[in-house]
Amino acid sequence: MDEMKQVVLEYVRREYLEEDDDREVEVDTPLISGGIVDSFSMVSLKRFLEKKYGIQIPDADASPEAFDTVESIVVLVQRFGGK
Amino acid sequence: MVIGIGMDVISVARMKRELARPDGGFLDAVFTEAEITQCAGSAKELALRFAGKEAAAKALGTGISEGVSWDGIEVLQEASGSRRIVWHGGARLRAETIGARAAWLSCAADSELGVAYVVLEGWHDQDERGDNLFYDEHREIRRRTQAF
Repeated sequence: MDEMKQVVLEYVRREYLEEDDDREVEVDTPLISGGIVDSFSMVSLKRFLEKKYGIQIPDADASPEAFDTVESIVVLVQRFGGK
Repeated sequence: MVIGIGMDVISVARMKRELARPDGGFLDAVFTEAEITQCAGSAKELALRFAGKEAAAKALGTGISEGVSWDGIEVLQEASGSRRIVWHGGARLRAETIGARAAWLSCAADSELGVAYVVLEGWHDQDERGDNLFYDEHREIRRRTQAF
């Protein structure tokens, strides 16, 4: 689980923080309510998770709450069989 | 009576970056076949339609959640060039549940931004006491309820 958290955390930092963005993003940082990930980014993040872990996350489960922190994302991925 | 509004803006450059990703899949995850055909790969047109979907989802009061999915909000272009929203699945159900009888979409794009604004018009109005009046298609009062 810690490895998965690290993978997701690195993806979020790499993809959604601009070079001059000095915000600290950790596993419990609010991503959506914190304005780091928006609905557009959620599409690519969901696709990244599905490809990386070979799972399908139903749209109904890809809620803003489920995507709001790296921790909640990892819980979601594991719920659908990601290891 | 206006029962919902929503707006959104999307960078065309951001759409271009997403389309250029080697793993692809963004188009199919967000747009319907008809939308993809109509947009013909134009990042500007896709940005505009994405903004339209997001604006409509906001007007529904849910965003893309609670059963409202990207493909449930279809932004189609008419022969006249104007665009309209077509509801499907959970988005259609949500629109019906909140009493939306029309969705008015205004959108525009230039080389940098796609912008959309959606207003939902409801079946109901309010009388002088604040009670809600629900109309049928002939504008006859169908139902009256106390104010929300």
